Amino acid sequence: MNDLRKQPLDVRLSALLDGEVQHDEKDELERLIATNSEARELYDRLKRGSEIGNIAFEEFLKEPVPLALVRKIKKTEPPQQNASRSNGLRSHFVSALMQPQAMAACLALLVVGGGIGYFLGAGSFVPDVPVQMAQAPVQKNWLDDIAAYHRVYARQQRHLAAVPPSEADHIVSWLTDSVGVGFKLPDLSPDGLEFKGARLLVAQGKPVAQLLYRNQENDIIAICFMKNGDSTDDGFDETIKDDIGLVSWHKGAVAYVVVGPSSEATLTKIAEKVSTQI
Amino acid sequence: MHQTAAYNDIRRDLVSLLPKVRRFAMTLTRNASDADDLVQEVCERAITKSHLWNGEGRLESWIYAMTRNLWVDEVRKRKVRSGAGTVDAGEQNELIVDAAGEKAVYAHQLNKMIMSMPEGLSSVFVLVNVEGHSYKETADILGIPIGTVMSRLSTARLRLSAMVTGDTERRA
Repeated sequence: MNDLRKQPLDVRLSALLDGEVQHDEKDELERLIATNSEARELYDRLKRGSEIGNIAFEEFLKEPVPLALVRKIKKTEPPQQNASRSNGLRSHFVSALMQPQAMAACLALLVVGGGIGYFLGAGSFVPDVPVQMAQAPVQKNWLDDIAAYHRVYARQQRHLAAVPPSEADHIVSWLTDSVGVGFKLPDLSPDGLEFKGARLLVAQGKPVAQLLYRNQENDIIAICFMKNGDSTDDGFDETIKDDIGLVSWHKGAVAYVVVGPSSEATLTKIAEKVSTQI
Repeated sequence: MHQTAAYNDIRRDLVSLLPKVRRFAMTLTRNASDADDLVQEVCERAITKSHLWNGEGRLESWIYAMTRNLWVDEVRKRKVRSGAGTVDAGEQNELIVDAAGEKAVYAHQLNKMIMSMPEGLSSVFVLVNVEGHSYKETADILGIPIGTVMSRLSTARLRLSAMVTGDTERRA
């Protein structure tokens, strides 16, 4: 708390409004307001200014935030957090190499390796190493299809889903048979997402299950999944395709993605939840 | 890969905070275009420096302080470029009211009214009166003494009150 006795009366009364005065001073100022009409009038003006300003600044929050700004934030890459850790490992490795025993071992390896290399080179030995081509990531391609579908279906009002949410059991058995992936319908109602039904899509020539939800802003958020040949698990990967945001991951032989408007800030949180429920 | 989700947290928080950060930026720049440029720069910097955020206190205080610092730098650069620039409210002998501020405004024009206030007044007002930061937090964010926070806040309140009172009198 601040001692305001040397401050002008308007500053002291303003601090009283904010509860930033000491107890004894609070009593003194309240007495002054009660007995002095000029002080009371000044206090009322300060209060009125407070209320007017609050209304005005609340209006600012109603202005739409530029979508480009949201996308820019989502696309900004954070720094590589493990850089300092790898530096630490590198310095540890370098200091270990400086030990006499390690240096002797390196020297011995150099002599032995050099000798083997000389004999192999003299015999024109060329090892026949197969060149392994990196497999193009299937995930990125199917995400293009999913984003395109979402742009179309998210605008549908009457025909958003092929099967309504009232037929939840049928949705599970139908999509399990069609896609070849067993699943449970995630309950996202605690996050304000209402289940609106399901569709069957085709991406990269494969059947894809699509579960549709509507959030409190009336935007459509969908969960899509398909059987994928790779059985690698990985973490969440966020991609933005213009107005569409996608958070994808692999689990077992299944590729998943949560898709919604790119301005939706909670897609990753939803994806994390879906990955534990589905 | 799981780090991606962890990093997304600050981006997610920033997106959630955007309206408030933008509002604060508007009190500094007093025009939407500069405010958006400033917010973009602040957000990029916050993400690249997210490892420096210790998670204590309010994230917006850290963001606001960064916003204010970047704006001070920008004003300095503009002064160098043009030989003139924005005068800090604390350095002014009297408040400057532009043409828009001279005109009486109605309730729906309150935004314009706010924009006519000097930068130092509206920033303090938003932080204390609207968002409930303490005088100390506000002084830290804006890099000014607590006494200046107090006097600017009182001036802002009286000014806002006078704007509407004046308007009401003119309408009567």
